[in-house]
Amino acid sequence: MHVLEQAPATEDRGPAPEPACRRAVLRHLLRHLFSGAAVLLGAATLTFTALQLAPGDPVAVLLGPGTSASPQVRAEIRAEYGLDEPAPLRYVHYLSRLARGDLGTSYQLQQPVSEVIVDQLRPTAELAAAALVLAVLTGMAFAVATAGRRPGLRAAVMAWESLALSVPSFWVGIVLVSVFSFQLRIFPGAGAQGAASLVLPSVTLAMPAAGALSRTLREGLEAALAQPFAAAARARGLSPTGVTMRHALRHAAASALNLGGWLAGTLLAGTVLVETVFARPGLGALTVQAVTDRDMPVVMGVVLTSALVAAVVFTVVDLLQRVFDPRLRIEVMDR
Amino acid sequence: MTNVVAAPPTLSDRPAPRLVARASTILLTGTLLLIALAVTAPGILTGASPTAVDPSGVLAAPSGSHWWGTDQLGRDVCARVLYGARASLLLGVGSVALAVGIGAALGLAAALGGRLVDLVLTRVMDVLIAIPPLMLALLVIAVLGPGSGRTMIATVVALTPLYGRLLRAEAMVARRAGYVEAARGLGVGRMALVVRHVLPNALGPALALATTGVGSAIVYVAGLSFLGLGPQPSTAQWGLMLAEGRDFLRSAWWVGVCPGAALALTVLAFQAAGRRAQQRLVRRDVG
Repeated sequence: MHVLEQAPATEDRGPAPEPACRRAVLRHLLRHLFSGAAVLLGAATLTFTALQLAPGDPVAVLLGPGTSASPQVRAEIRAEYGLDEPAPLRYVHYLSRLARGDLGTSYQLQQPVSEVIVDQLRPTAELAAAALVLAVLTGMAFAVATAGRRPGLRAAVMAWESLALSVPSFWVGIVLVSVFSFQLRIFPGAGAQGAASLVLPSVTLAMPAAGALSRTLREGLEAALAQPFAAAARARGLSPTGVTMRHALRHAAASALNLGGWLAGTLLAGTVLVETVFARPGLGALTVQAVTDRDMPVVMGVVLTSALVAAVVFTVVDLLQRVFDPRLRIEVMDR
Repeated sequence: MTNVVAAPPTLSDRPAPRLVARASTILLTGTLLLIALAVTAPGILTGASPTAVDPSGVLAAPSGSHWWGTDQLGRDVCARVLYGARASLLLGVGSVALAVGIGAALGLAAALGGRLVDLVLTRVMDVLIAIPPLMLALLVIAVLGPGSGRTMIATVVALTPLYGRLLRAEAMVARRAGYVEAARGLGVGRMALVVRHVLPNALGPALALATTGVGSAIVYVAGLSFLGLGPQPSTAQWGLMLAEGRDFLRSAWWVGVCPGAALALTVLAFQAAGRRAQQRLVRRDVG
């Protein structure tokens, strides 16, 4: 409370970037990158362990069911995929291949995993981007419209948030398909042709994200609106929406940004279910197929990709928070 | 119910009007009772059999004789949903119980086992938390193969790091509390200190979170079943029924929509109960 009264962050541009400050920020950034790299190394170790634990002979999976091959052919395949080396050596090779961006070769598709993932990335990225935009817009609109005012609407929005956060997305998708594509025939219920086919899946995927954003933003806004600077802005004659948008939102953005990593994970993992509901091609559909076929290299590739995305988002969010909230820049200095 | 300490009213936590609060309590209790009844004795709630096939009444719309219609084999959807509650719920409750148990063991070990143990366990949990839970669950299924019990193991793996981290943090706080110091001063042994003094005080927040977690766990298990990675086809289990209903959505929406509604209602009930438990904890800490 005290600190906030002394340093109204909305007006404060933070200290000028003196060399000492810049060095502190750089050190902080480096530490962040290092811990991100450590998490990725951990994820790589995890996927490698998973591969070791997976039962069955990879060669048999590679050959397909009912194929008989001579021991020589089997040995050749083992050598080709590096399966004849001892585990620690395989681990080192696995890591060095990963460092070069080589995720291995799919058992089923006989294609490099990185190519398979890039091929399927576009529809999933479209879906996730559309859902993200939708979630941010609705979450912000609902939070700004109901933060600290309009009790009736506020209660309705809060009920919607609980629903959006707990109702499973695959059921929401099924309800939307049966209403909007089979009863009303407005939007297609399956496939990925054109913008119309993006509407129902992105609404489905955006629901939990929008609910979480709206709830967090509103709580942040209400905390900020209770501060003296908000009362001062109101006293200067600013409208409630003006105070919320121009003064409180910046404070609330920090807590909403904290959701960034969770949001990326939810959207990415959510595509697995949503793409199945809407029979859309993409990374999620690829993952389900790979898990069903036990195509380990593809599953490992997708898990690593999602960990990478989460780590990148986490770092970006940390940087953005410093842009929004100059107080954090000083915090870095103090450490 | 009488010892509720009034929280200081703030903008973000304005108490609901008494009538609304009472109505929602009754609604929540009723829903939880209904769920409990469906799990323990679904026969009381419906006279229909979940397995009786009726070739003449395939995909019949909801009516007086079949409240929620019939499925592709003429089975009563309502009965299948009610009988399916047990499989869907027990897996969810079981996986959260296991996740809390394992998370408690890991969290306590990290908080009390010395710096090296703490460093290793914290790093491992960081990695597991960095991967989206559903992806982690899918990785486990890819290793173990599909199946009903395996969806539960996958859910446990996906949820455990969360509880581990929470319990570590709580145990760190409890460890430094005065009553632990006092017990140590009285000569209570290390193990007894952990089990009798640190654990009970660290567990409260985790149990509140676990109530909400049952909801998420049910969704994970249902989601994995929906993806075709759970029980065998034709089992009365909500996620699987949703997946099977998806194929008949054009002509018979009730086959997919009704099990999903039951799933959604169950999750909502557990989330609401968990939120209440958490609010009560906050009030206890404030008061």
